Parts: sequence; C-alpha cells; structure tokens
Amino acid sequence: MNPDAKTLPYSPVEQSERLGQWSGKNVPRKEDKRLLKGQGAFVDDLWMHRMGYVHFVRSPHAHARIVSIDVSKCEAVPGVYATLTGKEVGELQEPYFQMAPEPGANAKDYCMAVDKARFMGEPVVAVLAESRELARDAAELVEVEYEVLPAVVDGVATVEPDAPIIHDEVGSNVGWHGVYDYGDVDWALDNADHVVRIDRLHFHRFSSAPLECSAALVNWDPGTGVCEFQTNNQMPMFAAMFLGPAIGLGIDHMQFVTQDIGGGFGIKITSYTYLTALALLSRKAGRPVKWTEYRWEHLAASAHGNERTFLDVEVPVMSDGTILGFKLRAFDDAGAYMRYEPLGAVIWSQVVPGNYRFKHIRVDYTETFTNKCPVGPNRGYSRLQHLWMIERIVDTVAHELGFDPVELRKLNYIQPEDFPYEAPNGCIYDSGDYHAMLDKALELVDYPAVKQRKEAAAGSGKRIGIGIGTTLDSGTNNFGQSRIINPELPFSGNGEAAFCKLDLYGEVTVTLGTTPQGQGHETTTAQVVADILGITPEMVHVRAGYNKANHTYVGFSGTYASQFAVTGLGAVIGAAEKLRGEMVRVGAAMLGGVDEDDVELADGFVRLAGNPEAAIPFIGIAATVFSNVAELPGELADSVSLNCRHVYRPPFAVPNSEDKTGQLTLTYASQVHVAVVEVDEETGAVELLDYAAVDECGRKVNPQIVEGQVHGATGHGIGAALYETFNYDSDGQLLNATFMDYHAATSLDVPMIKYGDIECPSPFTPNGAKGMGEGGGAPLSTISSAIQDALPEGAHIVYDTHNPPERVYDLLRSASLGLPRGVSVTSR
Amino acid sequence: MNVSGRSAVPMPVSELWTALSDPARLGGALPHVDTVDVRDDANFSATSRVTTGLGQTPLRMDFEIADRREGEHVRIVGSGVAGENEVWMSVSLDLSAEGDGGSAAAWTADVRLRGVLSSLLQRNLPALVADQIEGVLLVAQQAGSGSR
Repeated sequence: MNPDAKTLPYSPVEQSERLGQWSGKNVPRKEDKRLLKGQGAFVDDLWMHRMGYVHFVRSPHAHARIVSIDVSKCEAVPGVYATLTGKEVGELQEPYFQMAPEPGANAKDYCMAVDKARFMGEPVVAVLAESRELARDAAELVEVEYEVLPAVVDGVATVEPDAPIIHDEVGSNVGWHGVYDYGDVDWALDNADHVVRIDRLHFHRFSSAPLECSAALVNWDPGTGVCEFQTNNQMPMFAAMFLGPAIGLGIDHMQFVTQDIGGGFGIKITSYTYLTALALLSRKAGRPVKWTEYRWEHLAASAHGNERTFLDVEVPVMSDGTILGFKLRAFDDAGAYMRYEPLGAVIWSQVVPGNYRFKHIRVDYTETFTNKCPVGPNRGYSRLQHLWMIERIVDTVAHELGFDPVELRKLNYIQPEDFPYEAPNGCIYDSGDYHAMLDKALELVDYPAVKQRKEAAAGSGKRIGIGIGTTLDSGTNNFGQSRIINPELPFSGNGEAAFCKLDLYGEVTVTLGTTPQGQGHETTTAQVVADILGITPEMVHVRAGYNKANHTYVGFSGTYASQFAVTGLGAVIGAAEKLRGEMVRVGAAMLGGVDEDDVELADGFVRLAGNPEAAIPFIGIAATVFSNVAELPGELADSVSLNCRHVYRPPFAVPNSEDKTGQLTLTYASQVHVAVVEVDEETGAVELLDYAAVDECGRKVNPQIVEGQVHGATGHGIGAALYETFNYDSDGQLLNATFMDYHAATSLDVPMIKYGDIECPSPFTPNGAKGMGEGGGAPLSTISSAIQDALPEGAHIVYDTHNPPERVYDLLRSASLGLPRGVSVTSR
Repeated sequence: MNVSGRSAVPMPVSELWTALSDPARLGGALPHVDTVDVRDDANFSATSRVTTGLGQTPLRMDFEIADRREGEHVRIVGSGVAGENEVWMSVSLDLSAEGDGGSAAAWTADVRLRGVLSSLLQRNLPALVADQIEGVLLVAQQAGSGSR
C-alpha cells in the first residue's frame, strides 16, 4: 500500500458478499438469443403510419457561404412532403449550448448549415418524401448557390494569423487553450542527465464502423406536444441536454427509445444534431420522419475520432533510465464544430502520466477548428491519443539511449506496491500490476524465441519488429473535470440509476438507465441480481434497450467512458439489495414474525435459514404485497413497494479548476499488448506475425464478455494502425468516404489474438470491477513500437499512429538517404 | 485531377475539328446525354447520366468552347452539378493529321469534383474521364461519317 494512502480522497468501499455464484461466470449472453436469430430491433426496422423518409442535401464544399437556396422544384415533385433549409433552422432553433468558455463559446452551431457550410458533407437542406429513393431523387432538384471560401484542414496551421476564420464570432480558430503544469518540468529538464527531443508526433483521424449507421424515427406529436425519438443515439440524456434548449422542449416532452444500437463506440453520442433536424422537420410536416444514414454519410459527416498533433516534445531522462516526465505542445483538431468538445481537452488528463511514475509534466494544449468533420468521442476518447504519445516517448528514449524497452518500462511503470497511486494531477489509480501483465504478454508470444527470429531474419529483406504497447482504460468519469475547461459549467460527479422490482407473479424485472450497444448489459445485470436474490440469471428479466418513459435515469445515464461495470451495476446492486431487504421484511412477517436475520433468499424462495420447509415462493411475497396487503401489518405494508430504485454515486469531489487537479475518474483498467511484425523492405508492407493482448479490469462479472470486448477493441486498433484513416485534400475534400477506400479491418486483417488476463480488484467499486472495453489504443502503440523496432539504424522515428506501406517505405528509406530523424538527444 | 490521353480517330482532322467546335454536335456526342440546349456558337448546356460504377449520377453542366484554333485545337470548359456535388472541368484537345487520312487527338483534362463524388470517384476518375472523351470522339466520328 502506498504510504500516502491515508491521505487519499476516498477509502476502499464495502463490497457485496452475495456476489459470486453467478457473477464471475461465463453465463451465455441473453441478448444473443435474439441477435443471432435476426430478431434484434434496429432503427431501420421501424415503421410508423404516415411516416416520410428524409434525405439530407449536403455541402460539397468544405467552406462556403450559402448565397441562396431554392427548393421550389424539389417541393413540386409529387410525393415530396416538405423541405427544411438551414435558413429555417436559424429561425426555429437556438444555437446549441457550448461547453467551451469564451471565445470558443461564441461559435454558433446549428443542426444544419445556416449561413455557411464549414465542412464537406454538412447538411444544408433536408427533404422529406414518401420513399427514401424519392427523397434522394428530389434532393437533386434543390438548388444551392455557394460562394466558395478558402478552407483550412491542418489542425496546427489553422492557428496561423493568415488562416481563414471558420467561426467569425470566435475571432480565431482556437476553440480552447490551457496549460497543464504538474511538478517542475523546468527543473527536470535542467537536472536530467539526458533530454530527448522529438519534433512532432501525430495521432491520425479515424472512426468506427457500427453495423447500423446513425438512424432515427422521430415523431413530434402535434396533439400532446411530445416528440418521440426512436433512435440509436447512444447517450439520449446527453442528447436531451442539447436538444431540449435548442428546440424549446422540456425533458418530459422528449421521449427516447433505443434498443439494438448496432455498435456505438462513442461516435453516436453527437447524433443529436440530426435528431434536432428530424424533430423540426416532423413538426413542420406534421408526420413522423425517418432517416437512416448511408455509410458514406457516416464516414464523411457523423463524427470522427480526435486528431492530435504533439510538437516540441522534451523528455528529461536520468542515466539509470528513470524518465522524469515530459513537456510538449498539443493541438487537437476538433473539426468544424465542438459538439462534445472541448471535453477532450481535459479527458486525456485522467491518464496524465500514463502507466508510469512520471512526476514533471507540462502540456500546452490547444483545441482548434478546421474545415473537417466535427470530432466526437471514439473508443478510448482523448486518452488513447495521449497514451500513444507516451508510449512513443518510452520507445524513443529506449532506442536513443540504448535501454532495453522491456526493462525501461518495468523501471518506470507504477510499481505494484504503489497502488492506490496518486498521479501528479491528483488522480488516484485504484489497482494494477503492469509488470505481471507485460511478463504475461511476452510469454504469450515467446519473447526469447521471437528475438532469435528477429536476428535470423537480418539480411533477408524482411525485417522483424517486436513492439510493446501499454495502455489505460480509465473509467467512470467525474464530470466535474469539465470545470477544468470551463469553471462555469454546472457539472460534477457521476451516477447511474437502476430499477429492480418483484412483479405480481413473482417475476424479477430490472430496468437500466444505460443504453447498451452490445456490451451484454442484460446478461451481466441478470448475473448480479441472481446472486443477490438467490435465483438464476434466467429468472431475471432485464428489459432490452432504453426507454425513457419506462426506465429510470439520471442526467449522466448512458453507456460511455467504460463505466457500466461500476456505475450501471453499482445501481443494479443497490436496487437489488433494496428489493431483497423488502422481501426479507415481508417474508419474516409472513413466516410468523421471525427475526429478519434468520431469513434468506434461495432458489426463488424467501425462507427461514436452516428450515427449507418454512419457505415462501417469490410469487407469494408479491401476491401478498400487491393483492392481499391487508394480511400484512400496516406499518410494513406502508413501507414496502417491491419497486426499488437506486442511484449509484461514485465518491467524487469537485476538481480544482485553478491548478487542474482532482479525482477525474474512479477506475483504471489496463492492457499490455505485444506485437510481432514483419516489414517488407521493398514495399513497406507490414504483416502481423503474432499478437498478444493481456487485460486487467478488476473483478470480471462475465469473463467471456470481457474477452470479447478485448478482441473487438484490438481489432479496431489494428485497423486504425494499418488501414483506417481519413484523407482530406488541401481543399477539405474527403477522399475516402466509402468502404472502397476507407478500409475497416475485417477478420482477414486481424490475426488470432493470444489473450491473457490478470485480476486486480478495484478497492473503490461495490463489486471490485473496473469499466473496460476501450483498449483500442493499445494496438496503435504496439504496432508503432513494433515498426520502430523493425526499422534500420538511422531511420526516422515512427511519428504517426497510421502506418500504411507508403509511410513505412519512407521511414525505411530515410536511413539510407540520411534524412533528419525527427529526434535528438542532449546529454550532460 | 489531371488526366491525359491520346486517341486515333479515323476521320480527317478538319472534320473532327468541325465536329468538336460545334456546340450542337459536341453536346450530342456526350455519352448518355439526355438533353442539349445550345445557346450560341460557343455555349451549351447538357444533362446526362454518367455511369460512375456506383450507379448513374445525373450531371447538369454548362459548357463553353473557350478556345479554338482551326484544325488543331479545341478547349472546352464546363461546370455544373452532379446530384449534390459540383463538377468543374477543362478539356484541351490538340488535333493532328495522321498519314492514313485520319486524325490523332492528344487530350488533357483537368477535372475537379466537390462533394462526396470526390471521394467515390478518386479511384476511378481517370478511367471515367478517358471513357467520356473517347466516347465524345467516337460519336463525333460517327456523326461526321453520317454527315458526309
């Protein structure tokens, strides 16, 4: 235990002793029964009487003033119900609430382009027609006159004085700027034995490939004034926060329904702009409207992951290999609008030292606007950019100063005995053992044998590289961190709600505030409730999806930021325990007034411990409370409902926005990956020869679901490292908005992953679990590391997360051409 | 994107130049053309449906024969919309007589797309442009044969 542990802001929490019979087991997923039989409910399956279909006319320009729009020819087409232009939107919608302080807050963001388009693909007009095809055809008759403006696509150059201004109201292309300064980096740089300087590192743009792109069926009922959104937006309560004020709807006049979302990954959080446009169009047309995003629309204009450039990286290193920290400038390219930003400008600081004991860190952080698709959270949001940079630092230090990359990591990792560990910014890392994880990952690829293979391949034209990637999956946000970017924001803490009830016939039903997207919430919830109520998971009915009218929720409700295992199940545990308590009280009374401590729940009965004959089935408890209540003592009858709601609240305080410190997140799952690559010297092609992923996410509720998410995240990361990137030309034209050119990794691209795990229960969560599933950053670090290891001496360092053959070829050639390497070392 | 090529046309260079300099004949020679509206001896509009490999994309273009030197050179500039996308092109054809009584057309095309087509077509735009120009030359040749 850390000797300073007594000063930690929160103590280990009491963990339920009832978990364990079903929790921790590989219970088959309840959801799969419908999904594997084609019985899932996706938005595109939905239909409503009188509904029309929407097609969005989009700007072909990255930056253009809208001179005029003529929809008359379009509206004259039989079967076209209505159109909605940006000009109308400007009159019908208030600009979205901005999380940035001024001047970034001055940006006016609407659901469609009002006066000018700021990225290629931005919606300009919506057309509603009797069929999807007609809407698309009629949209061709919409005439839009543009005055094309110069575009800026570089997230760093956009701050130059001569760059075209994207939001005139902001006055520059800087959305947010701040300096994070921990320890004394100047002292560290002055006193280090070596200073390693890296010119530039770049984390590229990519996204996710959900099975169903964004979609919604929206009906603004003119009679009740309620607008219903049947949607695959993955965080409806966040959407409501933007939607409601924008279109003047109270929370009770917005109904959200989701079910099988088809994958969210974070990028479906910001689809609220489309929900806004659909609501306005539905109200105007007086009919339900349905929109299903085409794949190219999704790739061009939904949300991209954050693109980040790190400049002037300085790393102080002692002669024994101890890395003291780093200093750098970061530019995060938010695209045309800040729709979840600038939260990314603080989220990364949850992992400010990565997995390492770095003490002295200064990051000068700038969030910028460019004429590209707005960014949104994407698996590992904002942290994976930072963590990749840190792994590049560690590998570069190892290479430049001649340290073994394994031993250098082990020297600098947070040591197992350090946990709970307080990071320089006050974040508390709950538990972990990175050393054991690295050893396990190396063992899985047979590290000694691979090193021999690397030596044997010398001179063959195929270069072998071994790479290590260590990453964190920080989970359960403290929304108070938003105050670090804007002290005026009224957010702090976190929470989730769940509802557990015993129904009339003795059924146990659970509803969640979360919006599952494939993480198996129905299954893991059933496992936990089964443990607490002494039944089997099959006997627990967890309602699918999310329905605001029927489910309970809080403002933070949703599935994001690796937190369900903590917040979602924390709420479930609380609600189930409350229900259990009521059932025990009722049972004790029905068993003749026995002591409640002598009552247990088992096998679907409330019974007297040690006397199985004295038992009441759940239906007996329910029937008595609901329809035979006069049998119960009045005081008891008045105090039980068998309908139990619980809100789980993590023990957060408000962070300090002055010095940017505090507890920003509750849990720290981690992954260590090792990759073995083969690089073709003639072509730069990279082949993955072997891949190991070792995961640690506290106590697992369902190990198989965890392993599945590790596989998915690893595939996502491998795709991003080698195949997936958004290429814009200098005019802001996206050059690869279809799967013909944007290659999402398939099973053919992802090798068999050797999976391993260790378990370090979190002392801070009610079940010892940690949120997980966002380890997609690890392959980016790991493959960069492996390619670096394969390069010849004198080559430029790997400086980008995305390494297609042409880039690797250039790196290979850089050595023989004697080109600058992008790194330098000063030693004293 | 710049695309270039060279084609042999089995008709005299003077006739080929005449066909390419005539807005009505040139417009009619566009592959998959639906309508041609000739405004004067240098300007015309045309609607056509271009096969992009991902279906047919409606194209509404205004063309100008911007430069012509008798018997040797024609430059055509066009701009318009393809669905929700914008298209701009400048095509130069340099004609020369071949020994067999036919002609050779060396052409260069600067084509710019704005909108998702720039994404969809980056892979097959060179082939598509070449196909369009070859199609124009072929139809011009057929029209020339028919007029003789």
